[in-house]
Amino acid sequence: MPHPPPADPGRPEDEVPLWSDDFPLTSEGEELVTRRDFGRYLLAASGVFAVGSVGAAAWATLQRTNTGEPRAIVDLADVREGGAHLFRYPTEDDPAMIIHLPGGELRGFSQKCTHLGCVVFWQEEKDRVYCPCHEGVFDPSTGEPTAGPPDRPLARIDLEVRDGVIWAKGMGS
Amino acid sequence: MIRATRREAKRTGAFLIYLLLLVALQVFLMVVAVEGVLDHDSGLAWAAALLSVALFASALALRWFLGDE
Repeated sequence: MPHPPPADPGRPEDEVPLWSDDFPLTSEGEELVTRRDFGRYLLAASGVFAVGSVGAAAWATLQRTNTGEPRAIVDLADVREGGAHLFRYPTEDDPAMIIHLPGGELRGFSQKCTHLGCVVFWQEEKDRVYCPCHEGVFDPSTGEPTAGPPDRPLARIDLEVRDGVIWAKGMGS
Repeated sequence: MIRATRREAKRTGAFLIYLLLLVALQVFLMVVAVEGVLDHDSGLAWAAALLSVALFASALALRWFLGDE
């Protein structure tokens, strides 16, 4: 049921345009209704995002980090000094590596770059751990980032040598 | 039909702009909270969540202050 066309004081009644039958509301009134509804939608969206953020925070609090069970990884003799051994730890979905540093020390790191999760690898000739995605560089002794976009150290894996076998004891703190 | 005065229309428009900016900021905060989840950093996630709730509360308070917009 169409409303009567809006009154236009400056126009004779018989010159009311035809389109006003299809769009009977005045632009002022239509704008007011639309703004009000739009404001309500935005407020509802704001509430949804607030609740969603709280949900994400609760999830972050409740999730349990898998720190890994102690496990034999590889014979120490199989990892030459200056070389690296790749394995999976703490789960089969987590690439990790053992670096046998020049000098004999061992380091265990997750291979996930702390920037965007690309796989990092050991570059013996440059004495660095390198992420090819965005040219991130990490110190092989500490796992600390030394160049590129990463700003957090690589996740460490605690290692121990027992009877000539390298064991992963869990993710370092 | 309700006709808004020019002043009311301006006020409503300003409130909508505030809401738009607020929701845009909340989208960013939501991303930060999810990053906190992925990074096992609950402190970061809670900081983002509390700020998001505070923004939502500020919008509610402003709406109450301005009347039923």
